[in-house]
Amino acid sequence: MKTQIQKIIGLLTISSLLFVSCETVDFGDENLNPNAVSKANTGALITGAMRNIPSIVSNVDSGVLYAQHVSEITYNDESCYETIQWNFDGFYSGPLMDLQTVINLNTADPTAYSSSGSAGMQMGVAHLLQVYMYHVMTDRWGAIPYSEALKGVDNLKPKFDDQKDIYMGLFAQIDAALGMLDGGGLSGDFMFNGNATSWKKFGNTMKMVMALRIADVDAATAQSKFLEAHNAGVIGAGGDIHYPYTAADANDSPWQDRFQSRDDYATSNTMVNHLVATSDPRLHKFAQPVGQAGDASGQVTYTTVDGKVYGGMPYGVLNPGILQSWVSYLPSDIIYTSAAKKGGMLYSYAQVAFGYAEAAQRGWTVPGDAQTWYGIGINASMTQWGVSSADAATYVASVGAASMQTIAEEKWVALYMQGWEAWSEWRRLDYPVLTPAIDILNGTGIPVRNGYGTTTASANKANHDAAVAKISGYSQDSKVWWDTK
Amino acid sequence: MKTNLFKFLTLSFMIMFQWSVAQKSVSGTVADDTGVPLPGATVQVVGTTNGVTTDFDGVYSITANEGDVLSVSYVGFATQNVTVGASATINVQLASDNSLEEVVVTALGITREAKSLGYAQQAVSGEALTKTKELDFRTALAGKVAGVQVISGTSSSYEPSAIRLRGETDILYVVDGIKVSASDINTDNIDNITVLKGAAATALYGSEAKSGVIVITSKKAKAGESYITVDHNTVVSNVSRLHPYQNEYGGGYYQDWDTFSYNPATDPASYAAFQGQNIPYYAADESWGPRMDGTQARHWDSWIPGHSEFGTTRGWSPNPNNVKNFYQTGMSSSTSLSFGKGGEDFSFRATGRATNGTLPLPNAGRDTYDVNINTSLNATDKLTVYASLNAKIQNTDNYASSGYGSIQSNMSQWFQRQLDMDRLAENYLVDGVFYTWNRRSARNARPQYWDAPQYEQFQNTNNNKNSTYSGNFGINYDIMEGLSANFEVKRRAYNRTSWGRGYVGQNTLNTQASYNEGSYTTENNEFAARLNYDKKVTSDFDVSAILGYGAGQNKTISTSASTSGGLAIPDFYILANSVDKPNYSTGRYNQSRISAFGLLSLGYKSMLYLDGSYRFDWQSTAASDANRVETFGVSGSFLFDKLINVDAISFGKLRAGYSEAPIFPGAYQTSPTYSSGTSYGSLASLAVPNTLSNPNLTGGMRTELEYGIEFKFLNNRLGLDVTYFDREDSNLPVAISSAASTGYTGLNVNSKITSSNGVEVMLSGTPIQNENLRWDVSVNFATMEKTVDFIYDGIERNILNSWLSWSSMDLQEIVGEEWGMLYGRKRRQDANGNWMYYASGNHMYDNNQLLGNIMPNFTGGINSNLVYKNWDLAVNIDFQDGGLYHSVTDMFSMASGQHEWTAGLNDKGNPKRDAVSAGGGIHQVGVYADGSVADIYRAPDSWAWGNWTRDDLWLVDASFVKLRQVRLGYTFNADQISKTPFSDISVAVIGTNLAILSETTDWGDYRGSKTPGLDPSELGAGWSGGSYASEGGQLPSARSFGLNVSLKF
Repeated sequence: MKTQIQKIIGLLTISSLLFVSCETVDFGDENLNPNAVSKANTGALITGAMRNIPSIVSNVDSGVLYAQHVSEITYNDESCYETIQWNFDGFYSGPLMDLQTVINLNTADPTAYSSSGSAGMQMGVAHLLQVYMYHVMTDRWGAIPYSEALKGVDNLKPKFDDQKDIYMGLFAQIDAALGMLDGGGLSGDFMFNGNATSWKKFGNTMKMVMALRIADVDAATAQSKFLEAHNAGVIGAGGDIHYPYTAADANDSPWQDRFQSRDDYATSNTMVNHLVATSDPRLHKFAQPVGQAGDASGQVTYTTVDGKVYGGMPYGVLNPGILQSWVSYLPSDIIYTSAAKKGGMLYSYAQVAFGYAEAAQRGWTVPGDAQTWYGIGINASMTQWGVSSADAATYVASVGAASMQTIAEEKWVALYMQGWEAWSEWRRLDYPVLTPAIDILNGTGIPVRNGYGTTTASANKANHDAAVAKISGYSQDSKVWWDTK
Repeated sequence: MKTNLFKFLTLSFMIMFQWSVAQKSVSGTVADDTGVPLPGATVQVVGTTNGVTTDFDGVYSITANEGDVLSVSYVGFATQNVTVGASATINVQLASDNSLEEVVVTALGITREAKSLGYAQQAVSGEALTKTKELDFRTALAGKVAGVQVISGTSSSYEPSAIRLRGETDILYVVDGIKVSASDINTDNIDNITVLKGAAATALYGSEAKSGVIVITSKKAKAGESYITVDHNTVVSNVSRLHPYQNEYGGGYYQDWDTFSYNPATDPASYAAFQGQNIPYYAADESWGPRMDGTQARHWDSWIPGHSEFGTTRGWSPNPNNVKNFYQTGMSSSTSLSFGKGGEDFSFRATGRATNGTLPLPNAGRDTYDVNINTSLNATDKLTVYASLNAKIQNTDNYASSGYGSIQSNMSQWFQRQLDMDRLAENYLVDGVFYTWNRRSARNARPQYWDAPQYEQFQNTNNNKNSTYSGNFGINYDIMEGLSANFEVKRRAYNRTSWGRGYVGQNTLNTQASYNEGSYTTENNEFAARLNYDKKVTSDFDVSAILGYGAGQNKTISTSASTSGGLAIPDFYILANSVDKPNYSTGRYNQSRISAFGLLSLGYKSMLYLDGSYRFDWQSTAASDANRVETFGVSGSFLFDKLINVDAISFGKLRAGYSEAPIFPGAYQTSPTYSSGTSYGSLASLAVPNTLSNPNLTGGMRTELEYGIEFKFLNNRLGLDVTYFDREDSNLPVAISSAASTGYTGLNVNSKITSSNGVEVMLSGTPIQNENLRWDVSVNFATMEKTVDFIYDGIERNILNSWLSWSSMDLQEIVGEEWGMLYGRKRRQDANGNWMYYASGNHMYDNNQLLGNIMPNFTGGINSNLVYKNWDLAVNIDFQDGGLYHSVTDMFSMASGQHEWTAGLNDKGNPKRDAVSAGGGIHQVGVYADGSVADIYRAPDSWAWGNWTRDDLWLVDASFVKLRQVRLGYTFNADQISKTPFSDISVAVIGTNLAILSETTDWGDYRGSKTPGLDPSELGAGWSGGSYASEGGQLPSARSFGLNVSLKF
């Protein structure tokens, strides 16, 4: 009995020793994530990246406020420039990385992802979308990581490139992308359905807008890039590029989500007063008549136009104590934009026309003269906003000569609800003259730059500090490279 | 063994009986080892039912035969057997059986003598834990174990508490060897608890136990027991602490009254009569409005069409208890029935408990049903089988949690002080239409920001149903003397389904109805096999060894779904009724592990003990080519009291140990994947995850060194236990934060190194002990400091939680600093400590400043148990020094004019809210940017809105001393209840969450002293993602009183 047991024990001990000597145990596929996809579908990555555009074109937070198109009603901190540090992390770890992955995967293996279209189309579109986002980012923050970005563990501390280098890099990236668009189809593209011509027009229009941006600091490059874009073909009348919002909750306008249970925004008095002063028929499209004309606090100015009373919300007053019903709201079709194009505009023909007007004004060799393009721009904007041709004609007849100032002012009106673009153009052209917020919380005037976020300041400290040191008097009042005046 | 003795004794009795020796009367005194007589001690003739108890003087008298063995026993003392000799007088002195012979349950359910353990552990009896019938196990543990910090959930809700043991929260809970979650535990069924603190104690459980194990043993029926017990308690609870509100000014943004202006073009003719009436600013969710001096005004409920008070004005007066009136008296009652019977060969115990209750929060309630069965059987003399089953079924209605946007954040942060809560309850729903205090205007009943608080609790309902089943089945086989084998299978299955609705009605804030449902199922299956060997090699030297193997698997499935775009058919809350395609997501998580281990213990002369263990673990979550971690531990203890022979020292032990524990990565971090996002119509979208996976991720290791010394003085009347631990985690598989411009915000790497150390002290004693009165008191105290040593090459900071405040406060780990640093906006001071101000009068500030560390300096508790004849009084206090968090309630209640400090008088003796030009305002002294003196008064609302983003204004020092539990009980004497069918009756009055005895009452700056508000010990969970660094809208704390009756048949 005893010996038997001893034998059993001996056997057990030996087998356990053998057992523990294995280095690894094969658990098979147990650690393969069943909740996510292991093989990339590049078309779906592009869809995902595109879905980030609404946060740019329908930005609710600050672009429309800095340009004083819109005013906050009760919580006016942002109108008074409360936030200085803004985070760009979401762009990099979100859509930019998704697009970079499409580019990397197709570069490594050009045929593996052909179910989503041709490698050329995939990479070309990915590059163009990257340029679009980087452009918005550099106009907001100035120097940002670009050439060393999106490399994962290969570069944990990307350096901040100067804005000048970023612009040149973006121009090169557009040109490369335009060359890749071979019309081989692209799935997941809900903006242009894989149409290479439309993408080329988008790329050229973007190039044209970027070229104008640097007109005051590098006129030579600006002019040459502008003309390149013109020759290659930009969008024409009726070719407005807007984000296709849907009625379904999942892909509706961010404005709609904001207004679901709160009414925090109204047309600003700056915009209303300007439209009233110039007898602009777009007033009826930009603002709603007031619910109850009567402001107990005495801050709202009421004007009657065509039998309707309008009152713009005073901009930049902290704790104004003004009721929603006393001011002019944003109209419903700005908020609920499924079929209409008023929200979510990337580039409009009006903006392009004003671009030509400005180019002509600067003496660049473009067809037509400034005054004609000026008129075309105004008319295009009127069409965009659904103003009747009769009213449009009356207005066009009343405007004066085209000059840098008048072009800038009309452009500012035409870019209504296009916060970042309007802010950038206002910074560049310095018209219309805008008064900073009355109860300014930070800085000395309307911000001309976004400060770097706190996460960047900690996570990429050395490069962040180096970039900050290059900006004399780094604050939201220090201009970016192309903003000379 | 037992069987043999019994047989022997029976035999000897029979022999004696045959010889018919005359029985005689034996008597004597039973006393303790100091000579104090012990009344009520039991003297029994072994093997018979002949037994008596000693009287008040400790004297007994029993009929016995020569050669009989008398067994003398008394609670708290070691039982002694004496043989009846020729003498008719036998006096017995019993030795107290405190930790000298105390047996504790350690890892894997192995019982060891406490004196032989070389590592820190602390035992708490089930009875001590449940003196006040606490339902949540974690809350019950507060203040009882050195090194355990309990962060309570808010006591007016069902929020669970969280435990930090030596600073870590990932503690393993084990009930009878089965791994469970703390919320599974039926506190009434606990026999005892052993808290195994360091890695040394947990070397036998593997990586899940690296931060400590709480080993719980359920009650079993002991041999010779046969009982039925009924236990019932009823507890009522009421809100006891609320934020300090001001009661001088009502709702609005400015103090002047608006008046009604009749507009003949749009108003009904009857409104002409309202001309000139005072109209409150209904739409304001702040209280900067007019003084509550009784002025007649048109309150919100005077605009309800068809209502008897339509059009009438009422005084604008304070309602100081309005928030308190929202809450009701919560009532909970619990009844349990247990029966048990044990014999030589078997043991069976079953218990069932039903608990039903409501909360102070209206319309919220919970029902819980527990069933626990524990049984074992000696099938043959070598084979024992055992099995246990624990089931818990729980339904919760309208569980509300703390956090911003919750019901309490509404009432504390965004409210109007004049509101009458009873009127809100009556009038929030009239004729099927909803009305709120926060109407957009006199003419527009739509809510501006908030529905009535009753709407949230009564219309946006949610329900939660969960069930847990856990159990085990095992076999013990004695192979030969000293050698046995054990095989056991165990399982825990947990399932929760929840559903909730977002209601929409006429005049509700939400214009789109919604419905969501979710389910979560997790199961854990384990198999364990062990070979145990025990041998006394020589009389001085004993050996025990264990060789073990285990395999386990976890499977979790969670799904959540919600409607999108509203409900197509109104009021029909079901997913299929979603207007757009419902949102639906599922997650599956599986992991497996295998382990093999060996343990060797040596004991020498009951004076020197040595333990060593070695362990291999393999887990599926590590890289497949390197998924093994080897760890070992060694600990020893040396009992030196016999060597030094000092009278005062009755026990002395030195302990030391070193151990290692593996730390494995979470599931699915080694494989690269793409996550799916919201689709665009029929087009699917994918995204690259923000954290980069790492195919080479392996397990890391925790090493711990521990030293301890234990003393018992004055015959065990006083005890002291001091432990020092030093722990290091290295090669940790973690997701560290990286600069987002790399494309990833986190990287999964093996690199982090952190270290922590601390001291734990337990002082216990019995200051008074005599025949009627005994007083035991214990104090425990612990410090802990954790430091971050290394994160990754080139990365000095890791952000753990960001955006904790509206101005991007975050919780960081920084190389070389203590773990848990809060960084955010801080007000600036000049070199002389003067506050610096902008021209506007707002504080100048700097971003990214160190605000403080969230971990406490020390924690501890005091437990006192007083027994006087039949009465017992138990008191539990727990305390904490330090610990920091950011309070959103403070921040917004100041900004919205709700907080007491925003009203009252300033240092000139004038009301703060009077115009500054009239002598009002808050006095601010300091300097401007250019150095010139700033000496100004600022209106409180400008001060609050101008400074709300300065995070350091709202930091709370969470130091506290809290009287948590008190119990006063009476146990009836045997003779008092002799005529009843019961063998034991006891009643008790219990109170929990009674009072905060000490807390921080100063703001720490010019704001001066601070009226106590939120309970600093109840941070609750959820708002700051488990880091407990921020409070978003804490529910109030509630005080409970109850009655408990326990009957034993």
